Amino acid sequence: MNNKIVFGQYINTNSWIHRLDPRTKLVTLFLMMIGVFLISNLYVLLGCLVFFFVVVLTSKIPLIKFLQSFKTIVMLIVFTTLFQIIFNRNGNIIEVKGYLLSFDFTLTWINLAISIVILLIYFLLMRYIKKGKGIIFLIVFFVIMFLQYKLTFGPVIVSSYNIAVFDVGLKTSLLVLLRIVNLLTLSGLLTFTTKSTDLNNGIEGIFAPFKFMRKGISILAMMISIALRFIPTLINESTKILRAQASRGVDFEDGRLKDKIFQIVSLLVPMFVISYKKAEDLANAMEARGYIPGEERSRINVLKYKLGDLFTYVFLIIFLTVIIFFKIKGVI
Amino acid sequence: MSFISINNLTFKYNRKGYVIDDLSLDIEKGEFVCILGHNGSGKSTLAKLIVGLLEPRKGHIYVNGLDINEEKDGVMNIDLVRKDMGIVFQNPDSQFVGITVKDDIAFGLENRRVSTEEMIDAVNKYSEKVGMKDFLDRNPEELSGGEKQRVAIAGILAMNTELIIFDEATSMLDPKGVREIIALIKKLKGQKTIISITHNLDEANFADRVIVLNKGKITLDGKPEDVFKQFDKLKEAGLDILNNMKLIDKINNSNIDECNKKVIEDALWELSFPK
Ligand SMILES: Nc1ncnc2c1ncn2[C@@H]1O[C@H](COP(=O)(O)OP(=O)(O)OP(=O)(O)O)[C@@H](O)[C@H]1O
Ligand SMILES: [Mg+2]
Repeated sequence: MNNKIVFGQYINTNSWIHRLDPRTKLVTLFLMMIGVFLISNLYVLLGCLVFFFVVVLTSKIPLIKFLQSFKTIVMLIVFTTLFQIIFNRNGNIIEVKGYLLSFDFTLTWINLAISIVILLIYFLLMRYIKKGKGIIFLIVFFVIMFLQYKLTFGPVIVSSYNIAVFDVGLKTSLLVLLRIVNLLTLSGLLTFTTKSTDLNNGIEGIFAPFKFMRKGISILAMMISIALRFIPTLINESTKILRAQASRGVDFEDGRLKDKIFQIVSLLVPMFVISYKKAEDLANAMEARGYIPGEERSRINVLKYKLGDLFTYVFLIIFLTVIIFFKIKGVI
Repeated sequence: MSFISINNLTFKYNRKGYVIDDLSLDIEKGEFVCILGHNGSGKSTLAKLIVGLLEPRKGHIYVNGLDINEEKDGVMNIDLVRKDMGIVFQNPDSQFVGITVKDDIAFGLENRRVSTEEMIDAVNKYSEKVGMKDFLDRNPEELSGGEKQRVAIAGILAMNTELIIFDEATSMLDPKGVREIIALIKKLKGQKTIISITHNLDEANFADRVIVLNKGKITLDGKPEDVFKQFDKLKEAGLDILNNMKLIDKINNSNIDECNKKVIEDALWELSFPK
């Protein structure tokens, strides 16, 4: 049985970032994210991105692994950027070597029919394709658009609608794109180099000085740590249930809406019962070992700042000061 | 008054019949008590009542002379005596609180605000004792049921409580693991008050006192050698060990070598108390 589901994407390469105090990493990450949002100059953002990637390289995390972690979200980013470029019609149409980036499309019965055939083939083939679904979809999308651009004879449905790339539109969408990629890189830098246990300790550590809200924070930290502890267990349980239900003939692969609802219910109900039972047992175990919510506790994992943390903070302060300075000056 | 004194304790879950039925029991400091009983006889329920996780319908439980379900000056007595009681639960999965083995063993100590250095020492010492020293940074997902049970035992031992309740604490261990842990529990005899809910003959024989529970009542209570003679009552309590006891007797008096004896005995004992 696969019982090695570990939460997060931590890879231990014991680099200088791994050795940093989790509090430092959390604070730095958070403030750098804010810093990145203040910047509205494409080249500066690009510079930041390059810099962050250099930092990733020094963390010795395999670059491939790092980039793979973007995989789930990359399609979303590409599409939102595309839509932004198309729908943001501020400024002037961009001109490349004398050609205006402005296109007229016409939807006719003929290219509609061809498009439908292409889409049908796409959906039929989709079952057998495991990798690169997104890219293929993108290609299909462009082919369909191309048909409407070139293949414009026949009875017209929608005549010459225009899509153009505007300079302001392009700039704002690239800006958003760069910001998001920067944020992803920063958060990846944190999650690849920090164990979930340390993250939890770090959150607790950051709020420790705020005495008036300590009670709430210690409960929150306990809740996070319990969640981190139980997510893999519950995933394991759900796979067990899936298998048990599958062996009783519940088909989880495909089916119609009615079947889908039945499948979800046959997973959710046992999951709910199991979680409830586990929570009860766990509460008992915690209470029996003297846990009182909100009460002060000592910790076995004590966080200590080291020299590296100092340098990081110094750098962070310089970074933020520079950004805020130029922001006020209106340069970036 | 005895260290633990239970008077006319009655308990039931919801509408069902009584799980603990007018039960009275005194346990002295330093006693090693084994509780036997078939599945559903109320052993775990009794254990949870003693450590104050369940509230009795009727009757009283006194620990150190304090009624654990009463409160005085706005402080629940249970909170005062909790530091004297530790329990290892039956299910090792859901009593694992920490994210790693180290965190879990330290959990009880953290609640008591023990200093970090002391905690690290305790974690090292007790993880060594239960043979989990090399697993300190593992997640519970990467441990077997038996390993989790060992961690749970280490966590309770580290708290150094006067009373330790083991609720089938060796149920998921292999024969070698059972022997190791039972040896560990045996070493506590005399130093601590032990209540062990068990299916292990070896352990029960070693105890100062064996209590047999049937339908929430104590049907037998006495020295192991006396209790294990009461075949009728044992049978009535669903512990059909008559034939097996005879066999064990035969084996003990035969000239099979020690190692094989042990294996056969274990097997017979398991037959008498199917899990
Ligand atoms: N949380 C609960 N809610 C309702 N009924 C329960 C609950 N826990 C136990 N019971 C019932 O109470 C009875 C006694 O259960 P208990 O767990 O004390 O038995 P046990 O002697 O420990 O058995 P085992 O040897 O299987 O551990 C059983 O009939 C059980 O079904
Ligand atoms: Mg039980």
